[in-house]
Amino acid sequence: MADSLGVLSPRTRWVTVIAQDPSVRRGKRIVTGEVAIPREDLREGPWGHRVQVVDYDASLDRYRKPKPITDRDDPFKDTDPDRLIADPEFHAWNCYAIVMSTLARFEFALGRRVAWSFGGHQIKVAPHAFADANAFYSRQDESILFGYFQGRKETVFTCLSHDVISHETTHALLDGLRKRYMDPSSPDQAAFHEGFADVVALLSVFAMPGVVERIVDLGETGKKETTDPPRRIAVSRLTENRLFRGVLRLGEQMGEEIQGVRGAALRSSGEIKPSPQWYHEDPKFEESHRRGEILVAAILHAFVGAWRHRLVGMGAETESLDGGKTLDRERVVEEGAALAGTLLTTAIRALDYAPTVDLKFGDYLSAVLTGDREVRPDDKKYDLRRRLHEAFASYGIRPSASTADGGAWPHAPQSLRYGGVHLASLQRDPDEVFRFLWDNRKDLGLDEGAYTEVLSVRPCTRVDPDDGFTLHETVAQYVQIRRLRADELRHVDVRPPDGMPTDTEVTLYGGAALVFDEFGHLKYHVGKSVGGDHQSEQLLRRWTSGDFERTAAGSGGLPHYTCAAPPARPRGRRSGSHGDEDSAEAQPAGISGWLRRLLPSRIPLRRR
Amino acid sequence: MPRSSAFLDYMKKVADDIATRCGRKNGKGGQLHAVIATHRHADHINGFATKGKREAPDASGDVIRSLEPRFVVQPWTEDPDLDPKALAPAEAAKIGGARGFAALLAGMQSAAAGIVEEAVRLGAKRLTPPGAGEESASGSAQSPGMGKARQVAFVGQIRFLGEDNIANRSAVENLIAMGKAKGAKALYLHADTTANLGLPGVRTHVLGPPTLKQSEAIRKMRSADNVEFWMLLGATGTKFTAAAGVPFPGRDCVDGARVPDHARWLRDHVRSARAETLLGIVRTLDKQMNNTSLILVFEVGGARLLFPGDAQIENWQYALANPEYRRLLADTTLYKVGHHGSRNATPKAGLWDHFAKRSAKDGADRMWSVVSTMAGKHGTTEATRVPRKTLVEALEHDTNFRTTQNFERAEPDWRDFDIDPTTGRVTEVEKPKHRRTAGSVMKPR
Repeated sequence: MADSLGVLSPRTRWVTVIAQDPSVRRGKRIVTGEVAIPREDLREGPWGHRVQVVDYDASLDRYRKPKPITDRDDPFKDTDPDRLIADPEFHAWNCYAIVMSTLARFEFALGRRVAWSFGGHQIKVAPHAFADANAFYSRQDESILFGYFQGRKETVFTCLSHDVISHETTHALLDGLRKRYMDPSSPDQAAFHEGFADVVALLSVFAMPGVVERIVDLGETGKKETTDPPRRIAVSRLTENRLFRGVLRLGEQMGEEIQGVRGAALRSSGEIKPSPQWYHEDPKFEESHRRGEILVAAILHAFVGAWRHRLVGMGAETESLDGGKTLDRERVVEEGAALAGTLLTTAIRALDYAPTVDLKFGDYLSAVLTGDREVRPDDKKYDLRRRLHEAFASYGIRPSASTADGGAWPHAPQSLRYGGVHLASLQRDPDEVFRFLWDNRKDLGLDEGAYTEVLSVRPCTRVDPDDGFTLHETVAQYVQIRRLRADELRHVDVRPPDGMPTDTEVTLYGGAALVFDEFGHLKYHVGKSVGGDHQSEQLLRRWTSGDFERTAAGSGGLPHYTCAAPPARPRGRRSGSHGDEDSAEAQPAGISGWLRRLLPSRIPLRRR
Repeated sequence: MPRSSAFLDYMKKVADDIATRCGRKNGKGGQLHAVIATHRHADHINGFATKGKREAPDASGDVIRSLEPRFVVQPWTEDPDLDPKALAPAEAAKIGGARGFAALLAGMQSAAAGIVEEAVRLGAKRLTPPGAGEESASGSAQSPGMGKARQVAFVGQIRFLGEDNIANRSAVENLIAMGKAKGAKALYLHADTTANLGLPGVRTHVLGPPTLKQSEAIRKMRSADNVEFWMLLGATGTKFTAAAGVPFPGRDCVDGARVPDHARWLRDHVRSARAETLLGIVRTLDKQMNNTSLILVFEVGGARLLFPGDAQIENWQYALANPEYRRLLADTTLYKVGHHGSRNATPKAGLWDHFAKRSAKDGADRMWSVVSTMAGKHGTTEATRVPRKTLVEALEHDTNFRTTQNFERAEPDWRDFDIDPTTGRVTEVEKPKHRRTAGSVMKPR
């Protein structure tokens, strides 16, 4: 997209995508939109510096040769959407653009480059990988694979769903940022991968003005379609209830042609009424996918609340001819899309302030509040932090950090030693960060007997989306691993579960995120210790869920007819869910929002 | 599903033998008292398949039908009133319940058909299973490599499980027709029903399958969404494997073998991801189908004969939660080993441990066990192998064990037992060797 002077941005390029999916329409027309992606010199595929699209179909054993790259800045601009969905080359572009824009959002939010988890630079994307109602990210295959299947009326291409692509890309990016989040831990951690991927997917979709317009229309009119909605809307009509109704209606519309199947991420999350009982009492919400929806629900409510807050603020400045306060419809839409972008940045940025292992929803909330306060100190415009705080609280999720400090993490101790470390090295060298940890292991409460490794050190420059204020930080993360026999667990204040043989070996994981300021001083140390009560709880959960039976089978030999888990599969792929550790046939974790809700829980899929 | 002619010939011989035993002479007469089809898996109902031509009863199913069985017993899921065909995926999802469940099973069967079609078309060469060399980093030229034999076995497993789950329409229709025939009675049973099979002195207890209401475990796999998933998957498998259904025909596409070099690494990985998913899907639906198995206990005087079909743990759970059934099962005199001796079909804690007539020593009251199985056909690891070695060892040690696997060629593939209705004692009848000559019976393949 060129600016009004016809000049193309040297760094950013805007390309046409399907705004959500082919079933979200205005009138009969599929809603399209544009996403911003980094400008780069592409090879045909498209094949860029971070994404390689390969159109290979395993069900048909067929490879589609891509078209040559043209010099059109937006190759599908102003193309009839019906032609777009019939064009496989567009499918490839749609994937490329949305994966890249999701990556760009992460890099913008975190203020640095974000790596894939598998070490290579380019993730592979197959837009028509197989004929199957399935789409997933796979670490071992270094790829995101999209299926297509027979829907209620016509063929459904998962590679045309914005939320599906965004969701899977988020799995990939989160896996690169926090590898340990796939370990068996608490129901919260298992749920986080899904819930967070849905949050990013939905907010990315809401950042498309065309989609926000549908939310406003659907909430406002309460009817199916108005051909010519009024240009101005009374502020009094833009209530939280109405806006939320629009969100829900959109959820119903997403994937309309296979209603009840698609769009479940938005719809089923939106339908969870605020109440602490889901999180704390309802066993149904112990299951990771449902639990993830609580996270999504809380953020959706914060979104609508902040949007309304902003609209009221704007409405106060306007007065229409008939004396009522009204707003230009376009501004309402614009604000919604802008807020979605801001909230998305906040949600992603929080990852740097989140513990590296054993994440709980309360930890994530504290991370959100901390990160947002650091970068966006002035919150008057949206009142976002209070709204997030309240929305999470309405679902029974309290910040892990003390509420006295607004729920943000406490600052690191002042007494730390910096004598032996060099600033320049501390900003990029894991050995230097380790030296810092070693010198301060007592003050930081590290387990001295554990194996400790610094996983990453990344300098970043974060920008306040509202006023351009920049913040230089260095984020690092480390893990601690300690392997103890059951009878040694008391040394780290962990209680072995009743009935666990004393010679059972238990591996405990701890670790933390470190956030240094621009002078190399530690601002935050956010993590989990190797020992303590939270480890006892986790161990008990693993024990009762049969997670240790496999080990027992290996040593003593279980009788033939038990239901013990079969041997672990190659490459140590593990389920993202727990309490259900049937190992080889565990939950299909790498599958996108609405699709994986359909899948019977026993179909093994590639791990994220 | 197409079966080899050797197999069909063999089933016909079995059916003819049944006819003879039921009193058929010179191709006339004879009546069968009851037919029991535990569940719809091909290996359990293929024998009921017909040739379609009513005038030429030359398939095993035609013979059985001509014997006019008085009772045709099947699990509740086979009740034709549930009529899965009449529902569209969305409707089935909305309706849920027993009809939705029947639709789910039908969807699974067409999904199986699609998978078999895909597996056959692609073959072991183009459906590479996950291999040992796969941890190689990006850019490595290595593909998921593995031994050719394992590769073939992996895809063979997909086909084996897939084929067993494809609907055998003629057998299903034959079973329904036999039940509807004049003078016959069709029984569609679930746990806790009383089945009167009109056998004097014999009580028939139905321990499974539970209905959806009875069993949360079966419910788990029955959410409305799953029904639609399976039905759409079924439609998908059959739609896109046919040449006509290929999306974007004629669009600069080349065969997988001609993929450019930069795409080969991914091609191999997508193939292996696909193979893994296919196996996962057939395993899931196979298990679901097994869990619709009838679990029957025939009580003859003091004897208890247990026939659990292919019931897996989820099916068993309902019966084993009932103390009355546990007592009944504890006194089992003859156990037809569940699911060909696989891992999850003989629950240890709930069932095996409580068999009171297990004994390491031979004696008049020692429990009998019979299994229909064939080693080397299924499973590659100790956990998945059928029959499970440890189970066979336990059966050999604790029961009078009979397996179809160690028959000698001269013998027929069945066993005759006598039951004393007063004492409940079971004894094996002398093998009727005179009825066959060596080599006259072909093994099925």
